[in-house]
Amino acid sequence: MRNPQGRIYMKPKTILAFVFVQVFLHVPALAAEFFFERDPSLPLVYVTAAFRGGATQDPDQKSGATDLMGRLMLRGTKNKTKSQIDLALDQMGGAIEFETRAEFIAFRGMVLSENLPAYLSLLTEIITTPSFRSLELEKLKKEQSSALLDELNQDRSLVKLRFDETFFRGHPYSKPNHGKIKDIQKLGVADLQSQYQKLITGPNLVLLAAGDAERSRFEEFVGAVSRGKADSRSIAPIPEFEQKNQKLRVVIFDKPERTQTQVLIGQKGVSFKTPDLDALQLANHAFGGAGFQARLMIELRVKRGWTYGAGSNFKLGSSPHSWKIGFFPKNADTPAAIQEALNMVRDLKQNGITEKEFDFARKSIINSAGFTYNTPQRRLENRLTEVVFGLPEGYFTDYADRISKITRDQVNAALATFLEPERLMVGLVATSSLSRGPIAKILGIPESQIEVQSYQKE
Amino acid sequence: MRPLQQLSLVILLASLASCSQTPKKPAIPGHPEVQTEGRFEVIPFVGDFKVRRARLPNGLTVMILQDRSSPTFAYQTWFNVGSIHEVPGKTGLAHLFEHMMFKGTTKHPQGEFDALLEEAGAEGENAFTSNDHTVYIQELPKQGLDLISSLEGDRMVNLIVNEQSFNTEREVVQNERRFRKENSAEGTIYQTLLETAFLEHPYHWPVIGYEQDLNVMNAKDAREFYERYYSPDRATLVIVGDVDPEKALRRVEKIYGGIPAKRIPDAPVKPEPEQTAQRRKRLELNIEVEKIWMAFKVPAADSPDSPAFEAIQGLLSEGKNGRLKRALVDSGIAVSVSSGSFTMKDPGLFMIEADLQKGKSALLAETVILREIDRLKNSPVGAEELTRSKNVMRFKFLERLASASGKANFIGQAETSVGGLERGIRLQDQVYDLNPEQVKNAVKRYFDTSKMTVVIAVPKKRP
Repeated sequence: MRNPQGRIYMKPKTILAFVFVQVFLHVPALAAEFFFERDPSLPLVYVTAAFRGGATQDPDQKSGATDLMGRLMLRGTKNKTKSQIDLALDQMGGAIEFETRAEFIAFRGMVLSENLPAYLSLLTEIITTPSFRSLELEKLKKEQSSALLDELNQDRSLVKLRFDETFFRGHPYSKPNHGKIKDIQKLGVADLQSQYQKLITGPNLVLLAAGDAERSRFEEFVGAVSRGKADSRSIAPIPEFEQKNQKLRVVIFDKPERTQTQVLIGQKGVSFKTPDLDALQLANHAFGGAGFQARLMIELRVKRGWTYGAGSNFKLGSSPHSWKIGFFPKNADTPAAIQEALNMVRDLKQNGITEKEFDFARKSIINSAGFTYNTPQRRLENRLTEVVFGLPEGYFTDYADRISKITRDQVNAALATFLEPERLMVGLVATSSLSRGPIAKILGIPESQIEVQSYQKE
Repeated sequence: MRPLQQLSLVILLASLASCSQTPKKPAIPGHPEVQTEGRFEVIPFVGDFKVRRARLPNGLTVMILQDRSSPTFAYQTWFNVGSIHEVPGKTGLAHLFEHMMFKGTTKHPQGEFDALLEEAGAEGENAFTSNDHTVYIQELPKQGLDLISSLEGDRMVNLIVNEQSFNTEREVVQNERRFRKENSAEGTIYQTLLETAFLEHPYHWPVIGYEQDLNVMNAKDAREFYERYYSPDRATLVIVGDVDPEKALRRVEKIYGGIPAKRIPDAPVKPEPEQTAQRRKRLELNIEVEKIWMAFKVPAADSPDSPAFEAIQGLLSEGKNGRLKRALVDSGIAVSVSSGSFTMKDPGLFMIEADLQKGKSALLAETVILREIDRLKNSPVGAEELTRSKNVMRFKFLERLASASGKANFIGQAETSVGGLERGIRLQDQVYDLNPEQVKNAVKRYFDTSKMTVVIAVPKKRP
């Protein structure tokens, strides 16, 4: 495969030049929010029941509580065992999976349209009457712990996990969505029930559906799910992270026998509400967007062949999260690649992007915007983001229009203010004995200044 | 690209009416009647969709499906060349050459191909190489047909391969190999499985090639590869989306029609001798939990038995109620289990893969898997369970077709691998007509445990 980037570094894009029928129906009378789009092209209905609050709402030392809560809800209700739920889903031709994000959770699923009533009835039961059986929890904890251990094999996801845990230490954004193994071991039924009381409330619910169905099918479901639930939205706001390191920080997540390093270089980012966000997104597109015209790709891959993939992205939340560069060179090229990337960030802050880069990025974003909005599911997913993060309706559909009005001066002024090259953190999954010395040497810092921690350390 | 998909976040389980004894037939044609419409053969596809096929005099096959649900289209070029066309000592050349196709041509200097497409709003611009094919893929806004056809037509015939760009791209590919194989437990296991299961056939070596082979290749090798394998008579062009079929065909004829056919026959491929004994490998890797991959030899993708493997996959590992899901995951032995066919142009493998829970042994998982295979051999599957399995697979098939690129992928694969799209559709439909006896017979015939290949990976002991 030639390009590893597309699925890895996300770039928010929206629509300008694309026209389609888009029907969002809002039900303001209910505490919950409901959005529906009819799409009869296949006999399927997609349903997402999302709740505000995610892994960031896990109590301290109890990471994974939210994730386990949702997974356990799928494993038993007051009237059904896990086997009965599984069988019911198979029989009706449906599926429900649970997903935990930093700031929301979601039961996502799909069903043959003819079986929608039975499916919604089952989903109502799962959401309103979970049994939280302790025996099932113990099985789930073992399964989840082993899955997290297995995930350590994937160097690319490992470096992302360890980077955020280290960079945001002590802040809610340091909590991994699926929890830490050591915390999961200690969780009990009471912890999960407590999360349930806190998060699964009517006002927290955002229901989205698309497919071959009528809107009226969902009205009873929205009411049933909301009924009897706490009338509160007790989601703790995410405090702004205060980055402590005043100079370059290098951390090796030491893993044996690596012939290649996974590198992330990052700093505190921006939030959805940051006024300069659009300008910075355009700059990021030019610097490290998914394509082969971005600076990082040209310098690290096309010219030098140092890495298979190279890119940068903003991770966005209600509070400033992070901006990160990623690439993965062989051991021998790692020091030079890191130094080159650091120099590129310094140059970006000082000189900004060129007129040619600006024009290219702007055209590319505007012309490709439709792909973010070309299916009902994507449109609904964008609506969920708008609701969860308090963005105005049409935030995504207006994006290309906003981009078209940005000037290069705005972009470069935003970069000059935003970038902090001397306070970046470099995180690597690498074999320390092979990489620490050469990296210290090229960066001109003592080896002792490079932190080393086991890749297994949570 | 791994043939076994990791367990999907959204697993589609299908029972069109599994409570019923007479489940509904999904909306794909059972035996598509190919009709002629002007220069097109028209093949009924899913629902109301029709695929129009035309063949240019130079051998280029063109497949067009009009779908106006989104003002975009997918454009895929399937070349009949893959790692199967390589020789020992030059492994990885097909894939490395795939990378070279994005370098300059006599019309467009290096970088312009990407720049023009990205500026036009192309999405998912990429390519992949498999054992049998090399495929170039793009999605564009509807107004981009002229651009992409001219760029693809140009690089089919005007590519420039120079030593400098070749050497840089070789380094990129070596890094891709480190990423996918050397530093990936799954990549290492998968490679070991193929190397162990195939001893003579080119499926033995990894598509991405061996490090030492990549190191000794040069631009001349790439140029010779291009001359031999890149021509319209080895290509199938698939266009799916908001296009007018007649106009699209006229455009394709204008761009590609003047490119001469080469009609160079393939060199004979060394056949794989019959596997007569069980083959096993044990790897010690930097992993935290044990893993097992098992493989059974199965016939080529166009075999009449192919539908049975779909049903067996459904029975074993799909949905919430797959037998191995219950026996391995619900029982607390494994974290996940999956299965599926590595069905290619030549005989391939049916693989079963499981990641164990901490402290659980892969040998225990193997025992459970073999027990479930024995059950399939010795007891006919109940009608209700078989219906569930077939519907699961049918539903997965329909979901795969939900996007323009998904439709294009199926059309390209079927047209180039099983003797035509209509046969690909028919094989899919036959999954639905299987009876328990046919499934049992397929398991008996192909799942011979005395001739299987097993790779077990265990955590390396650390000081």
